[in-house]
Amino acid sequence: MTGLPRFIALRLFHLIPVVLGVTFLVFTMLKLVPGDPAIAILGIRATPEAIANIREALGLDRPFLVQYVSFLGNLLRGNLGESLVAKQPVLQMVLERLPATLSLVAMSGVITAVLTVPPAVLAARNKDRPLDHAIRGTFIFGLAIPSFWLGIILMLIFSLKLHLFPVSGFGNTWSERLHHLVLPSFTVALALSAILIRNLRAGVLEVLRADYVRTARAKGLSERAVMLRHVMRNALLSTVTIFGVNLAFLIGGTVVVETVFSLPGLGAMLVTAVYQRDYPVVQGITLVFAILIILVNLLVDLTYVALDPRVTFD
Amino acid sequence: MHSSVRKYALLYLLAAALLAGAGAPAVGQSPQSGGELRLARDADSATMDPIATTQNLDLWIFINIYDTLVRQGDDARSIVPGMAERWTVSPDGKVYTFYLRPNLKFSDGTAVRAGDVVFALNRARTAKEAAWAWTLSSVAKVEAPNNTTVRVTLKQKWAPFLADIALFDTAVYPEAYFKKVGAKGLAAKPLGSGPFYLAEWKRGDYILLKKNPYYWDAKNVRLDAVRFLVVPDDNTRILKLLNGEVDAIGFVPFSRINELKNHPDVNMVLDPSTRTDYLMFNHKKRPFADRKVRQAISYAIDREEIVRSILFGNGEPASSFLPKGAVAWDPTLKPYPYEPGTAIKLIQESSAPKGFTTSLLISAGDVTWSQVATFIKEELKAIGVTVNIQQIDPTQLIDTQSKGGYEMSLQYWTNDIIDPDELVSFAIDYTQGGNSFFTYYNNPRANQLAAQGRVESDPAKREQIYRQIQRLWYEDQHMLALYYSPFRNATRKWVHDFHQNPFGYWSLTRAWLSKR
Amino acid sequence: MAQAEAVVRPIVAVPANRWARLRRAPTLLIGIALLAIIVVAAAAAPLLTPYSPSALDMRHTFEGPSRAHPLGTDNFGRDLFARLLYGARIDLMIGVFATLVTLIVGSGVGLLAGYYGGRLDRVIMRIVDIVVAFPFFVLVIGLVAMLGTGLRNMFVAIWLVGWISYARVVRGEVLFVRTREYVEAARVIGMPDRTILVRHVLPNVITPAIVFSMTDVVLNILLGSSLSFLGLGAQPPAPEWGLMIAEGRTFLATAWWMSALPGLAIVITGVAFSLIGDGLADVLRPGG
Repeated sequence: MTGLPRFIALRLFHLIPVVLGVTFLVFTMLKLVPGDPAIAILGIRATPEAIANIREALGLDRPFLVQYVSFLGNLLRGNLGESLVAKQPVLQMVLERLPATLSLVAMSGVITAVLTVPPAVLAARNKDRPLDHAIRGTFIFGLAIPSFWLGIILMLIFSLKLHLFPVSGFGNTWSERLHHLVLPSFTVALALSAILIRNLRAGVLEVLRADYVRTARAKGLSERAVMLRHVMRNALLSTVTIFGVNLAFLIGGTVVVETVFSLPGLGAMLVTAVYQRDYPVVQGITLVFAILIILVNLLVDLTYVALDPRVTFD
Repeated sequence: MHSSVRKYALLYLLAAALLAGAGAPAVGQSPQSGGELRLARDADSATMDPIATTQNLDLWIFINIYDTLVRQGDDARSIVPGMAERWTVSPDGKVYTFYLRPNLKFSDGTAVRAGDVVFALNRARTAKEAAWAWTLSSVAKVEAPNNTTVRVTLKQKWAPFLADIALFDTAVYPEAYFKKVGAKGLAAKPLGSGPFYLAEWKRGDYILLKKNPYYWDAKNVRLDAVRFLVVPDDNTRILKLLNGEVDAIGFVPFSRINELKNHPDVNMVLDPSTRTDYLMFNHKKRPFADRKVRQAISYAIDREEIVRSILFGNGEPASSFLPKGAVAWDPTLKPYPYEPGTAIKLIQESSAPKGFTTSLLISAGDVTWSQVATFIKEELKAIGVTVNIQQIDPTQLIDTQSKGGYEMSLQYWTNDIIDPDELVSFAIDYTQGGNSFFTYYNNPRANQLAAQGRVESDPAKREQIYRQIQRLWYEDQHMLALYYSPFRNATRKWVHDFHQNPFGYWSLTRAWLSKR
Repeated sequence: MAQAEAVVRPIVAVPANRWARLRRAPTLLIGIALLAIIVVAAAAAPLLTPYSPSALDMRHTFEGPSRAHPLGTDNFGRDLFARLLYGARIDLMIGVFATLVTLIVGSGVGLLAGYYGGRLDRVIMRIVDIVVAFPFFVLVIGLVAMLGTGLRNMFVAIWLVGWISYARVVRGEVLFVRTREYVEAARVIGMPDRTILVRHVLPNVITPAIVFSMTDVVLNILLGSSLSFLGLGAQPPAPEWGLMIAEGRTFLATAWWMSALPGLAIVITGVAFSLIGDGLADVLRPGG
């Protein structure tokens, strides 16, 4: 195997130690935290005897390593174990909630691109003129707005006052879901694009002055061709990295948005599972998040390659 | 009268009548059948297995799917027939015989056998994962002498027994079904003989219950279906109600009640609950073993102000540690008054005359408790007590408390069983495994009184015993009772007869919808 | 990833005079001025308001702006202006203190990883991958359980995770710079690594890290406030702005200013740091 397939295979292979590392750390950390599902189930009626009984019923009285190894064993069989509280297969529970989170992330990514690229290019090409200042000013504000606060304000305005968008939830058909995702995705995208736009604008400016751009223009290439073929490719490089890192952070951080907009996603489920010390569910979601993040990184790397032909694989 | 004036008068009356009719509430409208009630709450259920959970989130839902031999009356003081139409007690008080209604069926049409009841009861009291087994600890054996009779034999005479067996953990499901799907199957796909059955469950999103046509009292169930939606954010939930996306919401924050009361489209439904909020002390930590310290703190807290500014008037200061209006609640007790002078005097006489520093644990994310804790912190400055508030996640809070690792904490209680023994045994009797509600308060007199109450069968004498217990609590203040608060639901005007009984069960069999 | 991070640098004309560049960046000056106002206000809080941020006044709850209370009061009758001022101390500390440590640690790690390469680099990048994939929420809960509640665990959580961006950025820059002639020359004449790193490499790679740190301050303030929002950061009755927004949420429909004002405070502070970041980018990275 050479070239692209080998690159991808190698990256996916590196997935394994990372995933192992993360799940082990998460498992260890949760075990160190006081409380367990027996307490979560019993609530304040948690007498020592009742706790012991339930722990036994749930298999929590086995040694620590045995529990982790059995988790790994299940994993190899494609089984994520069973929720200690709901008694349902974790894989199924995760798959049920995955679409909401994935759609949120995907739609946020798309809106981010829309909110970032055109304004960044406009700002760069109109450097120091009012349009540039207006755009930069808007995004300076955008960066500093807390998303949970913005979410509530948007809801108040668009849902209650203007009746344009539904207040929350996920909807049943795909078109309904799209409709429901607009506000939460916009909240997330605004924050993300505020981070990216400065970087992209700087990147575009840097490249616009470069020699090879002048050469291309001198050769008579149209402005659009110059932009697309030379400028954007180079300008996007570092922006794409930051985008990748933040998107990864996003995947784990959708909690607040999912709460405010009542989206039945994985972030909200993770919070509940941690509170209930439902180890298998926490492990399962962590695993899914870790895989998603690595896939995103891989995509970023591939985009790099597509953008800059000088870059080669290992 | 001049004829044109009369004409005008008539027209005016007619117009007024029409207007009144259009805007008036549906008083005197007769209940209609049909429709789906959409009810939004702040979190989802985890399980539908009646023995495996203590969370209100779970039981307030499956209480509509299953039925029990007997049920708790909506007044929270009586026991009424459920699957059993009548029962008898042996003269020695140890054998209860329940006679099932004829032709009882589960929601899939299969007949209910007495053997199913026996199976469910035995599982509730012996299974490892049974969270309520202790309520049935008085039971020696359960039998089905024939297909329509269930006989329970107790180990000894036990006053709270009927209340214990009315609890939801004794819910009945088919033995054959359980043997086929197991506890995991029951947790996700329950099968009961209650007024509704589970039609759909999209976790994190909604639960859909539909009317069970085989329910013995189906003709009195008005709704066709109930949809429980999950909307964690308070503001969002209220927005959905005002938008008409849902018909009813639960857990209305105190700060929005008065606004919703005045809203033209909304009914604010406040029902008495058994909820009491407490300030707990850990008697294993030095200053709190001293009664004067506890009393000083009790006098230093202005409960009226808490009700006024945190509950916005929707509640009242608590006078007893038992819920207001519960069986054996002592109406002669008054809440501790706010007397900062007395508090200062008491702290100076106590073992910590210069005050001390301590921590107050509360659950993260509880809006009301955060305010109560802030308020208490400021009030206790007056007696030289410095309080550091710590929010931790709910599971860790309980874990810390049950291990005695805290100093002060806020907690609450809601009754599940009508009988006062449930709370008394847990909160004041050190020998019953609850460590006196995690306070480690060990008063032999209290333990003794509680034990007497458990076996006394004469209701009048029992009442006296529990009054003595409450007065003892009033003196000792081993934990403080802060306030009582109601259940807080809000509905649109087209929803009628929608209430929560004192145990928190929504009145889904009686509620009905008029045109939206 | 190693190859993919090498970015080709075009050659651009630059004004040599630092002051000339400064004058071209009014944003930097405005940002610094705004930040100075906030810092002074926070420091001089006791002089600017007679109220304590936590003193209750139950007879004056939910009041609008007035002579006595310039920004009104909250549900406990506490003066909002006082709370915002004292809260500025907390949030500024969160922003600066959290960011400073991650900047230094992250840049140091990136420097070493990029310069020495090889196994050290691979190990470090593996650690980075794991940290990135670790669910932040679980980390915070774990820290709360082990270290107790309050601001401290918020700092530790941010430190444990926030150094990554700096490590990556600096490492990328180092990969480029270490092939430059002046570094090669220094190595040839036998200069010790430590001196090379500090004198030749560091000044040339630290710029993007510093620029990013201004954005990072804003992000950390936001992160801190969302943790407080979830109950895992500052504890009541601390006037931390995120906690104030959380506490005001339940009064949004009636006393919206309780959440709006601290949100605005976050925005203004964030704008100040952003302007500085923008200005620095203009000044330090010629051409944009």
